[in-house]
Amino acid sequence: MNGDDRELRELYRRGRGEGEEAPGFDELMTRSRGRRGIGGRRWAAVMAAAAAVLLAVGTFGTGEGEESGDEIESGGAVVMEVEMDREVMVEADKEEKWEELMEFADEVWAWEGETDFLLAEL
Amino acid sequence: MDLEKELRALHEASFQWAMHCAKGRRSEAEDALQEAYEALLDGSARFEGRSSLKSFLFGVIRNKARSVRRRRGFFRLISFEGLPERGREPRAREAMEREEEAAAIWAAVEGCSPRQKEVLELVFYHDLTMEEAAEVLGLTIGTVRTHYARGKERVRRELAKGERE
Repeated sequence: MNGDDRELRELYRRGRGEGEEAPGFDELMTRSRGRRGIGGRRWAAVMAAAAAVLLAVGTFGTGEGEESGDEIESGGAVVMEVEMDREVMVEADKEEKWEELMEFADEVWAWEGETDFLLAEL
Repeated sequence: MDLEKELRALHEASFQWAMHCAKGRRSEAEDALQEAYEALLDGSARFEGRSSLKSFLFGVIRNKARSVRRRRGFFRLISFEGLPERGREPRAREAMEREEEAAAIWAAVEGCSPRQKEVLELVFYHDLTMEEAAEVLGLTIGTVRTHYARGKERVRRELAKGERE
């Protein structure tokens, strides 16, 4: 690392600070885990139903017998998550909702050439 | 190798990396870190010694953090809790008091892309080499160098802009 980079590194570290204190190793290993997502069978059911559901503005459904029509209080962004091959995909009307999705997602990519799906991390 | 002993020795650094991957969300970071440790200790993530344990572990932590975030994000939608508001969870760094210069540095870093931020964090804070950073991120060394160079350039540019104002 050259001198300029070393200087930048020191500035970076100063700006970053030390961060939060880590939990103890044993404390971490014995803690009960935070809320998990839904299990594998429900994923399969949701995915199967979701594949048949057309995305409509302002609505989405869980595919488990619950009525769709609940609007997400999101300022109008319409998203539905479908898990396929362990990747989380967000199906959205790309032309209309791209900008809105960008507002909520931490990272958004086009899904490998598929134009109907966006991969988003919320 | 006494794996648990090695993990304990890396614990502080691992937690800081997990916090970075979880974007300051402590509970997600702890979940990801716990899952990463379990994966290594139960053998589902097998360290075969082709790289340093640190870079291997950091790669596992990063993957676990992404899984944790995806599960939680989906759960929020399915539960009709609505999409998360931006900035709803205070980040660790924002809670800290910083000198003005340090704040300017961090503001400059925050303007980098997610990839650039990852590379800078790994190289500048965790002292990883380019090769190790490439392994953690699953990228080629050339790509890591590009992100590193662009990240530094961006930070320098933002700092210079701030000085002129």
